[in-house]
Amino acid sequence: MGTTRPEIPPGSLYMLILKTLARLGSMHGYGIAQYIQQTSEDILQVEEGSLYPALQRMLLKGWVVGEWRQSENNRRARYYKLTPEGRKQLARELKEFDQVIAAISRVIEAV
Amino acid sequence: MNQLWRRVNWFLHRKRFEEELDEEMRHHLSMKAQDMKAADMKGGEMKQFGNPALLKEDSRAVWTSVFWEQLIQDIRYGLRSMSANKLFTTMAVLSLALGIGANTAIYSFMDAILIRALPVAHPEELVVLNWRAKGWPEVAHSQHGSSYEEPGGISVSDTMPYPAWELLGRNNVFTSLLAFLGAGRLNVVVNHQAILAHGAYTSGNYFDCLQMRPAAGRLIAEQDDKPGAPPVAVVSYPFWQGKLAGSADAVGRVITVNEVPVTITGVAAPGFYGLNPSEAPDLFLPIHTRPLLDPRSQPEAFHDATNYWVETVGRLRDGVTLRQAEASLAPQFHAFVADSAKTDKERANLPALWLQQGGSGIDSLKREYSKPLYVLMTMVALILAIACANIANLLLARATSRRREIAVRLSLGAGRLRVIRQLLTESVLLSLTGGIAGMGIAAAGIRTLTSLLANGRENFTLHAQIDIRILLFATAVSLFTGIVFGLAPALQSTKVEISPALKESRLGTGRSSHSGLRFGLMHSLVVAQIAVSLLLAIAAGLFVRTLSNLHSVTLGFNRENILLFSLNAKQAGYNDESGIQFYDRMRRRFASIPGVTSATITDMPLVAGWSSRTSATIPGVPEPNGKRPATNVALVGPSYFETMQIPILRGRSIEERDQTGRVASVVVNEVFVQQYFPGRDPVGQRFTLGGNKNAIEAQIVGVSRNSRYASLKREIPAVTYISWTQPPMLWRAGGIFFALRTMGDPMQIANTVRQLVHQADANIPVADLTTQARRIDETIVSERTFADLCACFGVLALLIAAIGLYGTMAYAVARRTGEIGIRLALGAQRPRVLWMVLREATVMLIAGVAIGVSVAWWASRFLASFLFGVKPNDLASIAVSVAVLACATILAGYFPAWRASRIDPMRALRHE
Repeated sequence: MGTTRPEIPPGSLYMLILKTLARLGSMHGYGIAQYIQQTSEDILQVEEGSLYPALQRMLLKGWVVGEWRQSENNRRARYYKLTPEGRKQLARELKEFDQVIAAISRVIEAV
Repeated sequence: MNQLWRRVNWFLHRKRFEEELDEEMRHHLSMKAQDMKAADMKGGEMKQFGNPALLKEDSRAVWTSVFWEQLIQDIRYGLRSMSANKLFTTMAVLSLALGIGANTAIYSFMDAILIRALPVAHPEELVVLNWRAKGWPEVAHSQHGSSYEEPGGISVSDTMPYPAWELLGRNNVFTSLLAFLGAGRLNVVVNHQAILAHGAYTSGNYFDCLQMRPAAGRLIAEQDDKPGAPPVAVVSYPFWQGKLAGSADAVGRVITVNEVPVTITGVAAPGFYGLNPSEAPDLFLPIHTRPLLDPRSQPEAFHDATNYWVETVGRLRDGVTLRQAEASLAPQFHAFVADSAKTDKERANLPALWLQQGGSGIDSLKREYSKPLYVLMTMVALILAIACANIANLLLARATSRRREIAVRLSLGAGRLRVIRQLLTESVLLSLTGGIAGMGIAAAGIRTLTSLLANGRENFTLHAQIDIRILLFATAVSLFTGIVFGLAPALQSTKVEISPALKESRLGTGRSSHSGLRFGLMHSLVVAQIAVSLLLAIAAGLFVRTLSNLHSVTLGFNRENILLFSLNAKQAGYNDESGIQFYDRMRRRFASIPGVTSATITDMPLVAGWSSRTSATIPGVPEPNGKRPATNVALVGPSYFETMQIPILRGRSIEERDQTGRVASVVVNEVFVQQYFPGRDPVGQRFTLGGNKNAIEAQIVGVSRNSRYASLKREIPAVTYISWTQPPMLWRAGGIFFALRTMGDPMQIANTVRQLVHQADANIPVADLTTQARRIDETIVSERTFADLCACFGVLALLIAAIGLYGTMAYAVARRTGEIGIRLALGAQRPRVLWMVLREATVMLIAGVAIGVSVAWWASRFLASFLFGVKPNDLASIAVSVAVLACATILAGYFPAWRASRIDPMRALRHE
């Protein structure tokens, strides 16, 4: 509890979710959060309070679609899946992210 | 737009979405709890789940907050800007309210007459059986009821011989087939008081076929409609409420109908006015009581295959279409009429069955009013169109003046869609306000129009009212105008290039290509408005002239100060002889009322749409091809010509002594003399009226001046005025009319007349009491209504167009303030500035008039059938309309122009 974790940079949550779904195919909210946490080796932790509104917003924008299925603990869960629109968005966000990262590194390393 | 759709979808299924969200949370928690257990065992830590309520709130907000919050924001902002621009708002709302109000009022009449279904179960299953034939089918020896002629000489009627109804009732396309006919007015004694009630004769299965439930008691059933069955009646709901106090013990009571005791068995459903909405019967009686109640009807009619007198309506079986039913019944009907035809001439032209939808009843009202209603509907649609043009114009003007505001908003990052939505919200708000105000106007309009159309008609059953469908109509019209006419300005005004618009000064924007286009659009809208209002003004002119022509028709008699009413002694049990004595006695009594100068008897009121025509054999008049001469006739009593003030040109008028004698004394009019006695002295000549059994010998005792007979519009025909006591002619009309010439207002002696009749015989009610002048006016109700309405519409259109022009010009001046300031500063004369602005208005006026006149020239032919004494392309009407329109336009343009010429150059330029 005492350790502080770095915040997920604003705006990149969408990209993380999109990427997760691109990798896993389809997954429920809890699974997405777990995947991000595990893959980032516990550095990035996704709060429920931002995960679910973000998922709803992505549903609204048409990047993902929801589908109700049986989950591994035998309960009904909503599985999210990328739409073609979502794939495009992921590509866009990754490109932008790369540019930003490259730009930031240039600035930092310029000294 | 996809997002909007998803939002709407979310809103529609929001309950399910919430449940899904809940379930998702529960799933998350359970997964977490599982992992937590595992983690606990490992001694690891696990964050608690956050605040679930807040989480849900946030998730929901994704879908809602933006949309609804923005809508509320938009509405609030819209209301604020509406109240900030009072002049603009008033103009827009006023023109829309007038347009929507007029449309709603006329639409409610269309709904009442053309659309609304009968208040019975499944009205869409009802079909009316008609027949059609080329010209009049000879096989129909006699016909009682309505028939009309379609263009091309096709006769159409929904009357059938009784045996044909019996035959067609046995079929497999209808669940049942009912028959009925109007019974006219019946003398009914209720509570010792004689009144006249409208009746309908119905077959035993009438109410069963309509699937109606009684409001009280039971309805007429099969066993009631048998020869010799005890006479029963079902009363209409209004009659029950009005004349029987709505009491439950009305059922089973015995009333006297035409001297026959009849038992009331029940009350029809409320709102049911019979199958022919123009008849509105108070009493429903089985068809087989007709011979009892109506001595003139022949009992043989029940077996006569050539007497067409019952109207029939069938209810289709499930899954049977109108055309299938027609195909199935037509051969049966054809066999029936072919069998009834006895001569080759009859066989040559047999009527053929033709089925029509009957869901809204028999369509005599529709035929009467549908064409005028379509004309009116076109007019109000045009009014709405110019009102909408106003809205579009005002919005365009305002959008232009808000260019900077919009540019600021766009440059601050507002989406174009967002700004369009804001503008649309404003225009919809405007149009809805207009719609609400329009409902008020419509309600007043409906009341006025109903009283105009009814014009004293006693059983006027046109019940136009504002109901849920009319409200929907008005809402739809308002929303439509708001969206469609708000969209174009909204789209245009958000298409600004931000930086030039921001840099834009008040010096004028004429150089910008966008605003030039927009200004052109505004100009063309005004031109269209002028053209349309000119069109309406011309129509108004034509109808007003028609009305004044009708009013100035030379009648040939004095229509003022005559009281008219009818009595029917026959229905109260008098026979021919005692009836004549009763009427003559009453005539003498009426003549002695103080204030009455003369009193007379006639079988028909003049110029009231009544006519009676018979053939004649006149010595010395050839009969080519056996075609005998014919004359219109009227039965008249002593002092008829004095009372009506029709001058006698030769001989004498009908007098007391003419009431006895075998040869009928007659007076003929000038047309009669010209046609049958040209160049001869007709006085003293004898001829035969009518044919066969009913022929009477007539001797001409005088010649009267021509006077109008049945109608103001038709040419005066040859008329023979026959002394009224000739039995074969009498009793056709059932009752007889009295005409009293009075010294003052005829209605003042109405009560004296009633008292006299009541004293003489309490079982005879006074009917049709009115004045001759009113009787004539009734025949031109539709012309008067048209003239009144069109004059209203014309003024309305002019008003709306003037508002539009004023708005456009005022806007143009405001836009050019800077430019005009510079012109004035450089020494331009003020009158020149005035003219410069006015010239713009004049150009629009000329363009509008040119278009309007040419359209009117082409379109006015559609009104030809409504006109009298005016050609559709009446130059005077057009000239007056153009003049009025020009005045209104110049006036509307003058004020802004004057303001422009008063601009202070210093102040105008200082604004920069």
